[in-house]
Amino acid sequence: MSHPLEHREVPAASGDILLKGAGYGIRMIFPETGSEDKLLSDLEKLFGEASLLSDNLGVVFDFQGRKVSRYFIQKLLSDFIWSRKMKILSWISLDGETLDDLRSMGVATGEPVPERSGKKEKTSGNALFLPRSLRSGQRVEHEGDVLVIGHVNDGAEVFASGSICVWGKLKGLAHAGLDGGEDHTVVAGLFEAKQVRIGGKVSSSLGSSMEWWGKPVIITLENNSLVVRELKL
Amino acid sequence: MDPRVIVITSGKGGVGKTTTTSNISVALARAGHKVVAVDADIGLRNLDVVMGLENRVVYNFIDVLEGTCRLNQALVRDKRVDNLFLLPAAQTRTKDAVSADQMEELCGMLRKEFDFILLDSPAGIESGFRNASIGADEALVITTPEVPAVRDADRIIGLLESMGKSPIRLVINRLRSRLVKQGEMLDVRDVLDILAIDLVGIVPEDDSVVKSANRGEPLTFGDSAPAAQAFQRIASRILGETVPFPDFSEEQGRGFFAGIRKFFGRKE
Repeated sequence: MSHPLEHREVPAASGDILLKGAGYGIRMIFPETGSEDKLLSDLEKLFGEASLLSDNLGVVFDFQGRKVSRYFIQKLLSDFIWSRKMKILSWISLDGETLDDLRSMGVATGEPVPERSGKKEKTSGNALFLPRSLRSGQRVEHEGDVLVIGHVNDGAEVFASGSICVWGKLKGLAHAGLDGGEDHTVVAGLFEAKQVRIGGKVSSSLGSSMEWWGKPVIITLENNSLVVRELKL
Repeated sequence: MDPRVIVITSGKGGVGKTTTTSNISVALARAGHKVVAVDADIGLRNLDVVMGLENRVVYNFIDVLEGTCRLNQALVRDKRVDNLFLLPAAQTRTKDAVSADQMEELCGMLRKEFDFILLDSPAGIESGFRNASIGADEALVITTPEVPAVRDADRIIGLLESMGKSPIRLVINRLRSRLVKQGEMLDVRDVLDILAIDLVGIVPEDDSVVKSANRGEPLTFGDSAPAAQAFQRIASRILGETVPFPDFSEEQGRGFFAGIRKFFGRKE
């Protein structure tokens, strides 16, 4: 199954370690070949350059079939995880010996399960309250939820790591769950947008023929599909 | 009165900035104010042609800024009406020939001489637009009732707001009420709903605009054409007068055949 955020794949500076955006945060994929010293130096560069790693995102280490030494794990813990207060969600390995070592450490070794909508309301970071309309060419990007008390005109853009609520008309682009979060929503007082995005899912086949066009809507991502419902309060 | 510097802009090209600038300049001058129309579209100057003054252009405002000539040498006086002047742009230079500081300096010089300084901005949102707008206090945004033009106007309004221009007022140009009636064109309410700024004028589609541009004779030198009357009303509103907006849907079907239909009581 292709991951919805594969377009955000970022090769590390060395080209060896891969970073993938995912619903839960970042997946760091280590190559199966190459020395551990080189990987450690690549990680140093990566943490120096990749600002996304400094955010409070969950990280999954995926060692694939690589045999990882205890020394390497110790260096990961001391030089990166503890010193940078990283939030490691899981350590994944296909190598039996490495997996045994990881399990003996008592860390999670399975695939992380993203939180699904419906289980609890999710907010991320602070909400941004915008008591005005956004005109064409104006762009808002925010870590957290965004509330626009006004219109988002054609050509304006709102990007939020959380949910987006537009009190007035949504004619421009709204992208909720910018960091890959799939359990966020887009709400519009009047929906006339040609495209909407949640997480890594893009829906562009929108148009005035839709029955909820020009009406208040709530848009969610369910089973990897964007679902639009007329909002009746 | 304090001098007023007004930029006429649109974002999209071809919506009527130069036509509006020339006609409002004439109307304000005819109302007794000392007016200069500045062609701020360096490299693509048109205002001199539309105003019928191209054969009298010797210097341009770049020459003034570079010290090649004095301001009054570059100003072209329109002999058809008192107190109307044109300050042309250079046709052989590019937008990069002036800086924002120089344009502010130019506006400062013009403020000492004129009641109204109307700046005809180039299309686009780049340095030409920014330089044209930098020295202005207020703005007239021109749009036609078409989706791309309205979107570009929205973009320009956002930029003007961020530059602190006030008031920013809207002119809806080339309204064709027959198309509006057929649902093929945005109506005035649609445009205002999107742009959410004060409306200062609606100019109906009028063939005489094309003829006047080709002749170099702004319509507001006469009073009969529907577009001329619309530009006159805009000038009056700029001067602070309260002028009602006519219902252009009533103007459909003007002319000989409409007269006959009216005579026989037929409805379309």
